Amino acid sequence: MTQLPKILIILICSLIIAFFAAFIACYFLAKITSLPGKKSEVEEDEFNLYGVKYNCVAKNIEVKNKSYSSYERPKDDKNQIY
Amino acid sequence: MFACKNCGGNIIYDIKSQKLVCKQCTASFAPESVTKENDSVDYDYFETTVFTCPQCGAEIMCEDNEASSFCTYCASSTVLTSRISKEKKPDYIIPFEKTKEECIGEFKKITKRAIFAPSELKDAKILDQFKAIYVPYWFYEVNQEGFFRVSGMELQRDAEYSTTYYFDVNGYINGKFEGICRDASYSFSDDLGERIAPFFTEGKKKFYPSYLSGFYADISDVESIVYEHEAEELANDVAREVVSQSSCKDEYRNMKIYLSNDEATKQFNTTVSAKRALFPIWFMSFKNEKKVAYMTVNGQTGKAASDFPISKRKFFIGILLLTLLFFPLAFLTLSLFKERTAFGALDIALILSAASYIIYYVQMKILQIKDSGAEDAGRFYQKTKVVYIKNKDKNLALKNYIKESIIDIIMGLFYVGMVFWEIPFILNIASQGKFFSIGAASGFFRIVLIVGNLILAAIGFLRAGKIKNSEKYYGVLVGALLTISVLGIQLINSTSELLSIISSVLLCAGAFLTIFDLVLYHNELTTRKPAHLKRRGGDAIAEDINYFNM
Repeated sequence: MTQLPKILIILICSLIIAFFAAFIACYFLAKITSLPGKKSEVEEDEFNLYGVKYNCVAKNIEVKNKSYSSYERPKDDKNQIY
Repeated sequence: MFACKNCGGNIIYDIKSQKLVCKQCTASFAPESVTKENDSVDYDYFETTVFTCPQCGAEIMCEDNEASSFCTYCASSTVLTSRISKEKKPDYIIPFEKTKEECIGEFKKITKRAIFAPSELKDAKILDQFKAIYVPYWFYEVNQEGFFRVSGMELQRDAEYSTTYYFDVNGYINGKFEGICRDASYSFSDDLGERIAPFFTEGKKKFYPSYLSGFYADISDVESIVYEHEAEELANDVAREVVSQSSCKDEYRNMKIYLSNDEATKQFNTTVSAKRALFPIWFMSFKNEKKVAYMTVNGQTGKAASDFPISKRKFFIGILLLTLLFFPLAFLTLSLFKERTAFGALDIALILSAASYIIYYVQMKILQIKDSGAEDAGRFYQKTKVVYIKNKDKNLALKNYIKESIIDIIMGLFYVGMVFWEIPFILNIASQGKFFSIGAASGFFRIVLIVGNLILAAIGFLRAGKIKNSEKYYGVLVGALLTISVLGIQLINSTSELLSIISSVLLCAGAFLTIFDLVLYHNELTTRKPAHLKRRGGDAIAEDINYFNM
C-alpha cells in the first residue's frame, strides 16, 4: 500500500477532528440560543409569587406547653453525672 | 362590532389612549361606557362572534370580520366559519398596554440572540403577522383563616450543658392571596405562558365586552380545578414560611417554630376560588410543514418568549464556520504527532464519538420529558381528566427519579467508567505515544473504547425507540453500524494509517448523524400540532394516557 504524505495525513486528520468538535459545539450553541426566556428551577420558585398580591400574617403566637426538655452532657466530660 | 354613538362608525380599543376610538370621527369613549343592546340583559354571558378554523378546529372570538380570512393558531389562510355565540363573561381583563410596534421591538431583541432561528422570523413582513389576542386565564383567590397548633424548639448552651426545650405553640393565621394566575386555554402551552409571565394584576379591570373590540380572544377550555391545587400549595408555602419566622415574646423570643407540610395544610383552612380573566398576549404562529411554532409577547409588560426551531441551513453554516475556527487548533495539535498522526486522530475521534453518544442519551431524555406533555397541566387534564400535581418535594422527586431510572443509573456508571477508561488514552495522546506507545496495550485500549462506543450507540437507539416518532430517527442506528465496521477494521489491521483515517471518518459520520437527530427532534418539539388535537377520537386519547403512564 502506498504511503500517504505526512502533511496530507495531518491535514485530513485535522479536518476530521475540527469537524467533529464543530458539530458538537454547534448543537449546544443552537440549543442554548433557541429557547430564550427559559427559567432555571430557582428562578421558577421565585417567579411563582411575581404579580401576586398577598397579605399573610400569623397572630397571637403563644406558648401553651413546655412539653419536655432534654439535656446533653458536654462531649469532653462524659463521666460526669448530673 | 361596536358602533360610535356620534356617527355609527366602527369603534375599536386604542392601546395608547386606553380608550375606544372611532375610526371615522375620532371620538373616544371609556370602555365601560360602551355596551351592546344584549350586554345589559345577561350578566353572566355576553354575545360575540366565534370563528372556527376548518383546518385545525381552533375557535376564537372576534368582533371584527377581518378574522374570517386567517387562522391565528395554525397560520392557514382560509375562510373561517362564524357563528353568533353566547360566551361566559370573564370577571376581569388586563387591557393591552404594549402596541404592535413595541411588541415587534421586544421580539426582535430575542431573535437577535437566536442566531440559528429561521431568517423568516426576522422578516418585517412576517413580524407584521403578530396578532393581539386575549388569552383566558384563571385568576385564583386564596383565603386562609384559622387557629393552628404547631411545635417549637429552643436550644440553650452554656459552658457545661446544651439543653433543648420543646414547646406546643398556638397561633392564628390570616392570609389572603389574589392574582395567582394560570392559563385556561388548552391551545396555549403552560411553558410559553410561564415564560412571558408575570402579569401584574394591579392593572386588571372589570370586564366589558367593548375591551375586545379590535382584538381576538381565545375561548376558555381548561377547567378551574386543574390549577386549584397549585394555587392552594403556593399559599400554604407562604403561610408555612410566615409561621416559621414568627417569634414569641420575651423569654421565648429565641424559639424556632417548625411544622411539617401536612400539619400546615390541614390547619390553615385554605379555601380557593377561581375567577375568569383575559390577559393580553401578542401572538404569532410560524408554519413549518404540518406544525406551527408560536411566538409570544406579553401585552402588558413586553416580555417575549418563543421556542425557535433550528434552521438546518444555518446549522450547517455554523458547523462550517466552527470547523474553520477549530481547524488551526486541530492542525497544531496533530502536528505534534508526526510519527503517528492517524492513530492519534483515531484516538481523539473515539473520545469525541463517545461524548456524542453520551450527549445524545442525556438530551434525548430531556426532550422526551417535554414531548410527553406531562408538565403541561392543562393538556394533561384535557386528555386524562386527572389533575396533574407538580411534585414540590424535591427529595421525593429525586427518589422517584432514581426508582424509575435504574437504566439511567447503570448508564451513568457506564459513562463514568468510560471517562476513566479514556484517561490513559488522553495521557497517551498528550505524551505523544510515549505512554502506552503503539503496542499491544494501546491496541487493547482502543478496541475496548470502540466496543464502549458501540454499547453507548445501542443504548441511545433503545432510548430513541421509546419516543413516539422513533421511526424518523435512525442516525444513532447508522452510528452504531458504522462503529461495528470500525471495530472490524481495527481487528483486521490496526497498524494501517489509511485504515485508521477511514475509521476516524466513519466514527465522525456516525456521531454527526446522531447529533443531527437531536436537531430534528428539537425542531419537532418547538413546533406544535394546532388546536384541533382536542377533537380527536377515543383511541388517540387512550394512546396518550398509556404514554403518560409509561
